[in-house]
Amino acid sequence: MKGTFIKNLIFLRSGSMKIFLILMLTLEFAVTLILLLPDAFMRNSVLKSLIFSVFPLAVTVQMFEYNSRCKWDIYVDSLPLSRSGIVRGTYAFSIVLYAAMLAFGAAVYIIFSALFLHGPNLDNAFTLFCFPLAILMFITGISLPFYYKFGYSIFKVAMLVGVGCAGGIIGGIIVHTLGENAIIGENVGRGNSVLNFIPPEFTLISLAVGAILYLASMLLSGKLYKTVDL
Amino acid sequence: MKNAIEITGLTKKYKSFTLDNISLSLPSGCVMGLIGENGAGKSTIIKLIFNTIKRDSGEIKVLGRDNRDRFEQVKQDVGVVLDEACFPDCVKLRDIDAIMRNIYKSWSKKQFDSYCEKFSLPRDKKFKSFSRGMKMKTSIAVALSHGAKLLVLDEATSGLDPIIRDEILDIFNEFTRDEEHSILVSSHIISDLEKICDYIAFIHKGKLKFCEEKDALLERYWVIHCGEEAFRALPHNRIAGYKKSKYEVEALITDGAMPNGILAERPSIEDIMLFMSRGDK
Repeated sequence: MKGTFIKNLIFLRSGSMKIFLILMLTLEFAVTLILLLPDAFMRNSVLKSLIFSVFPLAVTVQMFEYNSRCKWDIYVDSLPLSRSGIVRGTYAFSIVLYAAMLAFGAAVYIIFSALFLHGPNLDNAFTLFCFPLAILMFITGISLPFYYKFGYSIFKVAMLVGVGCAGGIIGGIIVHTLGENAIIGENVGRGNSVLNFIPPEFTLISLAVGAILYLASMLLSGKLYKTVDL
Repeated sequence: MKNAIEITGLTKKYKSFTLDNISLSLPSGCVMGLIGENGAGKSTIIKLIFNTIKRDSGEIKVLGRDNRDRFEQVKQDVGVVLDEACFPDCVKLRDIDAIMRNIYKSWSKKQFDSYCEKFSLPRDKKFKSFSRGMKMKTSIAVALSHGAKLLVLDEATSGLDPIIRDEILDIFNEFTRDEEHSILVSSHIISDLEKICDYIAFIHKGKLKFCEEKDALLERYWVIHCGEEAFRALPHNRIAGYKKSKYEVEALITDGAMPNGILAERPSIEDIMLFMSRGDK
């Protein structure tokens, strides 16, 4: 597991300049937004949550594409690693990456709110970290078993389906919170964050569900690992 | 003598290709060359050895252990070089060292560094800027740096210039000086195999044509050049393959009494393979 984890970490490090540039752009955008529209920054965590959750997801997808392209997937079978170890290394790496990026996002929110606004809302910071983490675990949990069973191309489709399902779930939670007659588009259009519609209890429930699904998916991937010839 | 690899009745069926009932054994301390045309099934055998693909039937034992039974422990003693170097483009040699240190229990950084030095591999360049030869040399350095008892090489010397190939063959020869060390090597460069192999296994269209000691194999056959009439006079069961042209018949025949007036010479492994796969018989 450690070897696979280290390999993925080295892959991530190789793209460190890209990551650094994206983070700098995000910070620059956040500062501009605070200076021009402080209220909008407080309300609208869509941007923050999107950037800090889409980016690690993109890195994960790119990593699998890379593994498949350079035939690491074939080579790894010749190394003294158990299939469950290979799978565990990937799942551990993904969750660490997600958590690190989202913690960074929450920290940016807290620091900027403390510096430029009336102080951070810790509930918002909690939601900003936990809810996207739950969604990322859900999407990855749904799609990774397809990678280990069928390979990269089917995995991509499964991930798109996972993203669609996650969107549906978020929509469902918002409708549930606002009531059936609420017009979501209008609220979001006014600068309200999607995350602002999510009550803390939903955040906790979704985190628990995401974590269970992620663990179950890890066990399933270990069982399904290349049971068909790729 | 123990066997490093023992394959019995190995079968794998695809829609358009079948690896059919392959049985072969590689004794410890020996080098076996897998030869055969493209698509004959050599790489499929190697993939089956590592369980990268699933077999339909048969048994594979590596270093005395079934390859479906906690095989990752056995793989600590196996070094592998596949036909393509499979490291991510972004890694440098020190990254490969860091990855492998966490995979192989007996990984030796000293040995890896010494092979990198020997192969003149650049330490500060990324893998993507390596030539094919450098990539293969990196894979070979990895395979030799964790105290492996068995090396499995799939086209390991292809893409390398003759001088480097010779150097690498010397390293393989040195490796097999230890009686516990064995090599299974598949290659298109049959001259390389002739230099280092003790056994040759010839796979043709998914079937094992023969698997035997190289010296015995070379002593068993003759290549003859003769006219049509002299060829017809030969006992049919001695002809392993032949090629007819307008002027003469060239044939591979088994050892035995040679009819008068027939020009005969000892074949190379390549001759034997070509007659058996492309000959008229």
